Amino acid sequence: MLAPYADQPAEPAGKRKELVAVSLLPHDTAVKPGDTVQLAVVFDVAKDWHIYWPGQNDSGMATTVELSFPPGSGLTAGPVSFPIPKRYVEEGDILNYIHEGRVVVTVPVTVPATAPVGRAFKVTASVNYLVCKESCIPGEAVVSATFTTADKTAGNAADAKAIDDARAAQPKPQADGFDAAATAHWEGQTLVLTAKDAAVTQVTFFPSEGGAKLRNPLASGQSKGGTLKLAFDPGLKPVEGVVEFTSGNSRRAWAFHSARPQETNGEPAPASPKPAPLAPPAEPSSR
Amino acid sequence: MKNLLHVSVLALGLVAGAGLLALQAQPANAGSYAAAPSAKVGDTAPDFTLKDLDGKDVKLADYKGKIVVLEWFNPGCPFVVKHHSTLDTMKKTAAAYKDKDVVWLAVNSGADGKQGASMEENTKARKDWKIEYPILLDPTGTTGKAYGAKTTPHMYVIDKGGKLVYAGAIDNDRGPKKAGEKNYVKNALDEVIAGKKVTDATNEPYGCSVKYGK
Repeated sequence: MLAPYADQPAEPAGKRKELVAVSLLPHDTAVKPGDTVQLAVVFDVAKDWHIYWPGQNDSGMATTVELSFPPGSGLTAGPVSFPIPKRYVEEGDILNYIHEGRVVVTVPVTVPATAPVGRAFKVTASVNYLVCKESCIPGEAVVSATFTTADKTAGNAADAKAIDDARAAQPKPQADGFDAAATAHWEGQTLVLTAKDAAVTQVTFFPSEGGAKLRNPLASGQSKGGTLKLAFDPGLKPVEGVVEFTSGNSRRAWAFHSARPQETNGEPAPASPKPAPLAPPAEPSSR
Repeated sequence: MKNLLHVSVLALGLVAGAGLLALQAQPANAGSYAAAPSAKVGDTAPDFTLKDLDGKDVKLADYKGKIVVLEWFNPGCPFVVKHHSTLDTMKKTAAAYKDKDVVWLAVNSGADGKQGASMEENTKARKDWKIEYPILLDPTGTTGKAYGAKTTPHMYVIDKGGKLVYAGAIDNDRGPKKAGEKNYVKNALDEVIAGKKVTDATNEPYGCSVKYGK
């Protein structure tokens, strides 16, 4: 069960095991065959320290989570989902995308419909991370959790709520409302994101590790106002990342993917028969 | 060459100012200004004069006619520990090219008081890890910023004409333990020595952030 996050003082390097506590929690301890159970890898990171989102970080090391199942279990894992990261700038224009405090990473695991009721499954997660304050310490952990197949899916209510809350705070899938929140179109090789809600005061793009390389991310990865223009290194790699819209205290974010526009000899391709709609003019939000 | 450094520091200030202006005047045009005017592959390598651990001045321009490898260094960083202690990537690569007109220099751009920046820590690392090449101290970070050094290690190769021909990682295993199967610096050196263009001339370095001061 999730204990309240303990506000730990910064530890001397000798007590390195205390810097990040890792645990694995199933949303449900009883799972109906054919159902999907969310597993949460919980990183409790000591105060003032951080771990790294798997983005285009200038330094540090992406946190990795790898699940393994008993042989022949038939379990299948879905994609690993991280919380919305945070931009973290160090002296020397070093930009990283980080997580602090309690970091809940979730992975959906589907139980085969053919699994017999009453079978216990032990799932193991191997994690690697680098935890930094000024100094950095690499860490790894192997944690496991068990659930049992049953007639009805059910679990510990507190854990289920904690995992539901964590998932609700994660970036949503792009298909789940991005188009209602913003427009995205290409101007040549520049991607323009414009929030539809005039109350949005900041748009942030977090480029994923494997996606197109964002140019000049320090200055151009975050807007003041509802429009963000993003330039990428040449190439065909699609744009992958997370887009976040901030208005007041609200942070709404979506996972974002976009193919690159086609180019002919470095020139933008001629307009397609059905061009993407142009964004409305940006709100004069600067003051 | 001192003038050059001053110019680049001034330019940094200007660009930072321009960035602020651009951010205030929305929408900012993402492609219209650069983050930092640090050297890129193909540029003349920024000259420097830095003190080694024995207090002796080392000037890059004095090595014209030689190939120079720069290794950003911080003895407290686990990725530096990996290549100096767990593995012997740096020592081995430096030794393999020692007789081929290659000069290897470590540069520590940590500011006073930051992790791994002190004379004691660097002197101890030199002794413990049997480092035979100079470790240069750059406490103001001017040289590090001129090269755009972000991580320890961050590796650079400069050709005999003083041109920057490689900037990036030491190898392709970005974790804190294992050696990569590709040593980018070795590949770059082989190509430079053979008079060829470096194939993979720029890539993303990995490691700890350089511990610059304000």
